[in-house]
Parts: sequence; structure tokens; C-alpha cells
Amino acid sequence: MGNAGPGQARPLLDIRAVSKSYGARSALRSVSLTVDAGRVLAILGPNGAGKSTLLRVAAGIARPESGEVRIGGRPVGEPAARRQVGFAGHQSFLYGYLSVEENLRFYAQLYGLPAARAGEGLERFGLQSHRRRPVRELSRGLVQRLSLARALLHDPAVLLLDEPFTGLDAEASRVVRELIPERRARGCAVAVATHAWAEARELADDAVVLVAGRPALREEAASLDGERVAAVYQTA
Amino acid sequence: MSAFWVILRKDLVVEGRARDLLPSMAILALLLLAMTGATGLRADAAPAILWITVAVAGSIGLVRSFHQETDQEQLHGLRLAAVDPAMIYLAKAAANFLIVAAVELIAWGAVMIFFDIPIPRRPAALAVVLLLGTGSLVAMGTLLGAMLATARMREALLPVLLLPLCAPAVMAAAGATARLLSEAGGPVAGELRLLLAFTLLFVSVALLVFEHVIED
Amino acid sequence: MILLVLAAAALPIGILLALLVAPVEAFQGEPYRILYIHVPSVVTAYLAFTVTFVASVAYLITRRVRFDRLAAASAEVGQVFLTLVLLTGPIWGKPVWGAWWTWDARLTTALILWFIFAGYLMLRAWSGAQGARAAAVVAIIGFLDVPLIHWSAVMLRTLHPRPTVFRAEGPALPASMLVILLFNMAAFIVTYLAFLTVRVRQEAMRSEIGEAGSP
Repeated sequence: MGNAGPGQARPLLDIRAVSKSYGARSALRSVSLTVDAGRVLAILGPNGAGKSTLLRVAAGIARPESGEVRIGGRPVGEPAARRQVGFAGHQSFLYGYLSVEENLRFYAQLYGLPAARAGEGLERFGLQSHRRRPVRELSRGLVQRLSLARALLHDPAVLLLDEPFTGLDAEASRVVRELIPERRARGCAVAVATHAWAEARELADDAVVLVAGRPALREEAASLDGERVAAVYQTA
Repeated sequence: MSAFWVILRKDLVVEGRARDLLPSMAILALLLLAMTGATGLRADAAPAILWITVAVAGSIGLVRSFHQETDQEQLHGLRLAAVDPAMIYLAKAAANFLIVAAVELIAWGAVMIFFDIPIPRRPAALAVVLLLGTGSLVAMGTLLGAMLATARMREALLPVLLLPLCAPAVMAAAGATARLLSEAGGPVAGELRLLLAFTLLFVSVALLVFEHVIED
Repeated sequence: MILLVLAAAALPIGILLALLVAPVEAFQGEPYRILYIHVPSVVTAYLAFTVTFVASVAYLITRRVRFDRLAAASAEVGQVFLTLVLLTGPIWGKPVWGAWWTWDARLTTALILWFIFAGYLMLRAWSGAQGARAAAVVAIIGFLDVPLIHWSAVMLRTLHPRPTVFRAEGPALPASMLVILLFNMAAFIVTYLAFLTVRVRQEAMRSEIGEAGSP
């Protein structure tokens, strides 16, 4: 899985033996994976397999019962490590009563960035014409785009995307498709959770299939095969 | 420190646009006061009813103030941006304080009118009681609001938990207010000390546990 | 198991002793016998809530589910005893003080504590697994609150009979009464522990069944 050998740079995203339960339900069972700089990892798996939980733990917004996550060698709980992470998931983290632009400025201020960065984010994701609209009036596709803009505002070294293609319009899909190789080229580590193994094959370097909270299959994305993936899903 | 101002400002802007917290809290407070007056409550019970009203009406706002942080998991966005949980708590508490204090002032005005209370002889002391009492309610209520943000029946649960947990503050504030308005007057140092101790204790507890309360 | 048996034996003996053997009190007459239920209930309830407090702190620090279960079970059982306190108080109060209820410091504190734990139990009922942390915080705040509630209630009024058992110089009850009282206290505490173990075990089994059902 793009593991660092001795003498090489350590992985940007290092998930070590992470277990997480919600009450009696076990979501992740001792999962370990790494993503090096300049690599894209696809995380596949049926519903309830733990993909979202894994990404949330990796982002540092969910705390595992055991194991740890390191970003660039540092524990994810440290502020310096957190600032290296960008995350866009099912919830947008955006404030409905603030405008598109105000939301980006808000986060820019929290990250200690100049206001101009908010403007750049708007341009990049084609949101300028909507800049003054309150987020609660936006369509889902626009909200997703804004959420991505927010996730990338601080140019994070690690990007975590949870099912980024669901509910997107064609324009936004294109933006995400271009985004991933661009981040890879910049030397970032990207992890994308997705249902669609064909997408994974197209966009990722490596793939892991999670089933019932455990990695059931790991291979190069290029060798992903629909039948084999489906068979692995059945083992749930 | 600056995260505090960024979040506080955001909260005030959102309330300014949504305009739902302050009006609903104020109307409920006025309604409770009006009904107690209409049903024959005597003026000497007014201080008690004022504080209970502020606590109950305040509960609405305290629940909703965290709704804006959970409907799209905005709290997690703040955590992701490495904002210190203590700052999140303090900023939300400050915003809540301003809003509840506004309700408190409106309620106070209504009490003076409905129960024909003369202008207090010691306005400074009264102001301190009002401020500390509000501070106590908000310190506790902001923590509870965060805790209950995703619970079922949170609108009912918050006042059910807030009132008994803030009982010492409500009792002290009501007692002090009553004494300041009475003919005889008298010292309220004891009550002020309790209110201060209460606020400091529970702000400290909140700062300690807030991180655990908001994480997944 | 042993605890249950002990409790089942001790409790009725204690009550019989209270009703038949204990001497009649000079000023209060027969109704005073409620003391033998009221006081042990108070002690047991506060003991139970202390356990909830400690378990809640332990849970927040270690996140071990067993502490959460202990806190919840202890709060449930404690609330039963506290309810008993609030019911026996007026029964004692009416014939002795002439009023069903007074707002003195101790009763007020007990009543407000009852509401705090009612809220705690409601929170647990309505938020499931995620609520464990919130409930722990409520228990901690509630416990720390008790001295403050007492302080504020004292500032307002006091009417409770001067403490005759828990005083600095030692109990003021005659030896015969004291013995029976202490016996009842022990019986109540054993009963509490018995119910506590049963409840904790119940919850542990319930989680196991839940876990076994999932892949």
C-alpha cells in the first residue's frame, strides 16, 4: 500500500491499528493503512463498512478507542497536524445563514489566512456568481463545491474525501475529477472513500476494500476487478 | 484569542439574520410574566418569577445556539481548523450571554411595569446581581446546550436539566433581587459571593470537559 | 447472589426492629419510627450518587464502558432511595411539624437533587450510546452542585430538626435507638449493593447480546 521502506520519507497519512465503536457497535477493528505523499488511496466497501468512520478518525474529528493517526509524523490531535488536513464529507461544515463568501472568509480567518484566499477559492470552484447568496438557499451541488473549497482553503498536505461524487452535478464532478490528480501532482496524500470501484480504478493509485470494519482486500487500483470486489463485499 | 472574536462575531451575525432566538425568548418571557401577573401573583414574588422566567426562556436560546453548530456538523469544522475547544465554549457563552442579557432586560422592564416596582434604590448592586445571575445561567446552559445538541427531546431536556443544576444561582439571584427591592433592603454580599463561585466553578468545569463533550 | 440473600434477610429484620423493638421517643411519639427508614435512605441515596460521580469521572478519563454502566445503575438505584426519602419526609413531617413540606435547606437540596437525577435518567433514556459522555458530565456537575444548593438554601431558610445523628460531638440518640438505626443503615446499603450488582450485570448481558448480533 505504498508503504515507506527504510530510508525513505515516512508516509504523510499514517493510520495505526485504529479501532472505533459507537456504543456496542464496532465500526473499525484495528485498521492500519498509510498513504504516502503524491499517492491517492481509494477506500471501497459496502454501506456500514466503516469508510466514513475511518476518514473521520483520520481527520481527527472522531477519536478512536485504540490506535493512533499521524499526519506527517505528528499525532493528528496536535494543531500543527490538524492544519495539514483537509476534509470534505457528507456534512458540509457550512453555516446556512452566512453567504458563500462569508463562510470562506470565516474559515480563512480561523486558519489565519489572508481574506484573498477566500476569493481564490471562489474562483477556483466557480462560485463567484453565487458569492453573496446564503448557503441555505444553495442546491446540493453548489454546497458540495463550497465544501470542497473550504476543505482546500488552507492548501492541506492531506486531503480526505468521503464519497465526493454523490449528489454532484456534472460541473462539480468535473471539478473533483481534476482536483485529485492536481493534488497528487503537488505531493499531497489523498484518500477517497467511494462506492464505485470503476471510479477508484480511474482516479487512484492504491485501493483498499473495507468490510465490517476491517481491510479485506488491498491492491493497486489499476488491477481492481468488479467481480472480485463484489465477492469480497459478500464476505460481510 | 482571535478565534474567540471570529466565532463570537459569526454568532451575532447569524442571530442578526435569523432573528429567531431573541424574539421567541423575549415573547415567552413576557408571556410567562403576564400570565403570572394575570393569575394574581403578588409583587413580592416577582423576583422569583423573574429568574425562573429568564431560566426557562433562556433554555430555548441555549438549545438553538448549538443547533447551528450541528446541523451540518459545523462544530467538527471548527475542530478541524484546530480551534481550541475552550475558545469555542467561551465564544458561544459570550454570544449567549449577550442574547440572554437582552431577554433579561426586557423581562426586568416587564416586571417593573406589571408588578409596579419602584425604581430600585441600589441600581448598581441590582445590575451586578442581574449580570452574575445571567452569567451563571449562561455558563451552565452553554455547556448543556453543547451536550444536548444531538439528543432526542433536547428542547424539553435542557430546561429540565438547567433549572435544578442552576438552582443555587437562581435561588441566590432571586433572594438578592428580593432583598434589593424590599423596603428594608440589606446586604447581598453572600448571594453575590455564591453567584461568583458558581459561575467560576462551572466555567472551569466546562473548560475542562468541553473537548470531550463535542468530539465524536 | 449472596448480597441479594443478605438484603432479603436484613431488610425485614431491620423494619421489624424499627417497628416493634425500638423504644418510644419522648417528644415525637410513634411517628418518629419513620426515622429508621428516612435516615438510612438518605445515606444510601447520597452514597449511590457519590458512586455515580466517581464512576462518571472514571468513565470520562478511561472511556471504559464498565464505568458508564456502574454510573447509570447506581443512579437508578439511588434515585429509588431518594424518592423514598422524599416520601418519608412528609409522612414524618406532618404529624411532627404540622406541615407536609418545608423549604428548609436539607429538604430543598434533596428535592433538587432528585430533579437532577431525573434529568440524568431522562438523558440516558433519550440519547443512547452517544449520551454516555453527556450523562457523565451531568452527573459530575450535579454532584459538585450539591454543596452549592445547600449553601443557597441555607441562605434562604432553615427548619429541619437539628441533626441528632450526624453531629460533630457524636450521635445524640440513646444507644438502643442508635443500634437499630445503624443496623437499618447497613441493611439499606446491602440492599443498594444487591440491586446495583443485579442492574450492572443486566446491562453487561444486554450489551453482549447486542454485540453478538452484529457481524
